[in-house]
Amino acid sequence: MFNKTDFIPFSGILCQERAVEFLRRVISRGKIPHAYLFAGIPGIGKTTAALALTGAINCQQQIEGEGCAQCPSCRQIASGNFPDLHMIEPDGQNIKIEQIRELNRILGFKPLSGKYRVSIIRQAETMTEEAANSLLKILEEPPQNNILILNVTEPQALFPTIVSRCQKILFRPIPVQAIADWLIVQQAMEKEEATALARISEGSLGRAIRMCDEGFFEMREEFLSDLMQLPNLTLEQTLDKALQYARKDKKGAGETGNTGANLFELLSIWKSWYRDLLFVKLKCPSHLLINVDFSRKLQNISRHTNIESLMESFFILDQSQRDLLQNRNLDLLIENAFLSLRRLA
Amino acid sequence: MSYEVLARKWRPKVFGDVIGQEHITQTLINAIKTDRLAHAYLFSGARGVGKTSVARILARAINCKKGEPGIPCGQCQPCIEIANGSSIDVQEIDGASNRGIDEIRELRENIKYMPSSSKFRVYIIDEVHMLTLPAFNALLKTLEEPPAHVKFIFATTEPHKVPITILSRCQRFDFKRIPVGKILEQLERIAREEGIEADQSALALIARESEGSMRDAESLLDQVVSFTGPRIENKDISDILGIIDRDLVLECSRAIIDGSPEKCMEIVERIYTYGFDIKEFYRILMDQFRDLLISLVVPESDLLNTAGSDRTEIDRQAKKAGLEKLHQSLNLLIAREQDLKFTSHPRLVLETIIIKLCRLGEVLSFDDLIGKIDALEKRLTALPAGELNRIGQIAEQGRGWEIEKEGDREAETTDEPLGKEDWDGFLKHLASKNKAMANVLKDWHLVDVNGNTIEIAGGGNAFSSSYFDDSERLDKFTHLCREFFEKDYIIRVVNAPVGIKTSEKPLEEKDGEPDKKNHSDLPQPIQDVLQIFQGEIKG
Repeated sequence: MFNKTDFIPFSGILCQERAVEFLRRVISRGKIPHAYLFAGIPGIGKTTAALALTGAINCQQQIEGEGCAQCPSCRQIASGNFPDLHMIEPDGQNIKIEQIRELNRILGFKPLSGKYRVSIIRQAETMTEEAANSLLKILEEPPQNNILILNVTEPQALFPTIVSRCQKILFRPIPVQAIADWLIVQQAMEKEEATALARISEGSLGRAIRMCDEGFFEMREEFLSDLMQLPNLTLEQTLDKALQYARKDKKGAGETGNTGANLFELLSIWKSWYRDLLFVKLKCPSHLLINVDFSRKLQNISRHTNIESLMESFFILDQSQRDLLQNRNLDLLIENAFLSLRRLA
Repeated sequence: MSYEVLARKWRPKVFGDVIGQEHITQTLINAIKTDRLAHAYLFSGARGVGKTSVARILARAINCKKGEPGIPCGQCQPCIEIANGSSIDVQEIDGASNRGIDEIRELRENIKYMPSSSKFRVYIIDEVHMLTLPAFNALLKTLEEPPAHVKFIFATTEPHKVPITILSRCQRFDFKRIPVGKILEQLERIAREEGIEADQSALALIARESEGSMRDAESLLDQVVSFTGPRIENKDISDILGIIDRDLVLECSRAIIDGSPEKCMEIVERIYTYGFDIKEFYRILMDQFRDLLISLVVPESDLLNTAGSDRTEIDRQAKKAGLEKLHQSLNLLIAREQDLKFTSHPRLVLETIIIKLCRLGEVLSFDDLIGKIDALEKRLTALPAGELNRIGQIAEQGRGWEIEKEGDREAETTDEPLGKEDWDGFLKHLASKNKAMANVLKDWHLVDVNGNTIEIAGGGNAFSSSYFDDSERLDKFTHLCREFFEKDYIIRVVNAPVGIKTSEKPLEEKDGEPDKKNHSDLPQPIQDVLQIFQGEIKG
């Protein structure tokens, strides 16, 4: 779940000055509400901030709203065995009602050692309808000395009845420059590569690190060169290519048990490509581009395209991606996407 | 003692404290006074409008031993017990967690016992819409005729999920959203009592943002206070609460109406890097277009929540866009909402939708279109009379009708006049593209080239001279002209007067002449066929 290296004090959280400053002030005033909603894209420090909050309010020698990292409770949090920290994560696809009932049961006891018990619900938008409803009553009036923190990408995805019971704190995507700098220092990346990766991750440090580990650049290279070739293929070759992708994906699924992961990436990369072409075509400033390292190529290609078909291609890819998530027939879906793109190219 | 949020601290304790629900509280007070209480109530309404609070007040009011009817005293034993949740006669059940038939069976088991110290046993089931169907059905008989000492109170945000058989056994009260004015009053009262210094505009912003829910308003106030301390600065508020700046929305709609996507993309980038919810922004953008539309349709109404400089800006934008364009924009926004809702890349989808919006371009209203058609109709019907009047002036040129084709504004215009050679070259080019048209044109001749207008006149042949009456063919011809000359020409078909026609017959016509003469012995229709298809008679 979380290990020793996961505990970082507020001061160690990258580029979330606004949220962190807010939390520190609240803590030093001692007016801590019972329910928080941390909103922001994944991988920007929401859970880290929740842990830092747990540390700060339970610390015995709290300094300016920050944990001391010396006292027993701070050390327990750092080593991941603090008894009054309850973390809920999706069990499979969703957070289920049993998990919320269990939370309900735990909240019935007083905090064991610390001053406050903190319950963190990660990816709260994955709660089933039943789970979300059974959370309502405890979220409104939990027993004393309990703090609930819901992490969510988009508050809109939750019931308004849940959002209304929480104080919402926005976490912003991390600026491109900060991610790039981090990658250069921590992962010893080249400057150009780091900037590109920072742009593609769209401000999520977590995503950037994951992409870095998964050999993202080679994958993107391959996917994009396939896209470039698409208009030159015959109908038969196009279908062949599509089926090849579908088959590769099914085979890969056997190892990871995750169908469509590869295709999902493919469609994401192609989407970002079409979006960039649109931007170049519309003469938007180049710092808005995602695939910055290909800006010259984008310029060249965009000359032979028109805006309407770019937009249509984009929506086709988006629709295919949604179909993929809904477990539609993989072969048909990918064939349709390839053929439509070829027609519009 | 941990901090108690304002929403809990300020939960109403008597009916008089409940805001904006007088139609319900008054009814309940009167029911208590006249002893006409129903055995089951259902409270429905949006979040944070007072359902649970009223349920608790009602439970205390009917069990209170001291106070006047309808006003719980808050001091007697039942009042205190109910308030701190230790009463065994008043049970508040979380319907979403205890939703199965077994919990309801247990409840039915206990129902028959008399209350221990109060007058009634009260069961408050909150979030009742989450009970399972068997659980609901197990409740039906009890709910219809419970023992005299039992009262049920149900509260839910989603009454449509409650079976109709349950609904018909309860007295139902619908809670209204609380008007902004009343929320503002309450916020001012709270601020006064809690020693918070805040000016009215700050509280008004919070009240507006709460969408008619008192709890939302109190949560927001709480959040602001916990950041700024007891003195609230106006400028902090939208930053702390993560409210999207009005000016940014106005700027975005202006850029969309002006059709400048690059500006819109900058705005999207700003919104994204700020950490706003993209879907929330989309909703606000839709509201904005709705406001624009309303400011055009019913300018004097109070349906708009904006005032002052925002209002004038909205009026200005709406006038610029016009009704039809706003309509289309809003339609597009609604049609694409689904795409945004389910996508895994909301930002990219938002960008593409906005680009689409920017490119809606000029939209003519139906009124304008009908006006144009009317004018055209008038001109057409007036044509014979006009021709009669002006017949003297136009003897040489003939009076033609004009088909305008809207050209690309950016196209360069070369000033070189179109020469005879160019025209011949064009005819050759035409022959390779469209054989039929080229053959027909052999019977036509070039009358004049004047700036951007090419005037051509038909020959005497009935088939070929009526060839361009079909506007589709004329369009095609115009298109081919543009393709060859790389310049936009307007093609005018001119009726050359009869006398002039033969004498001014252009050169290319003469090429066809020998053929014609060869067959001069044949009947006229056959000659025509031969000429049109460039055929010859064999055998």
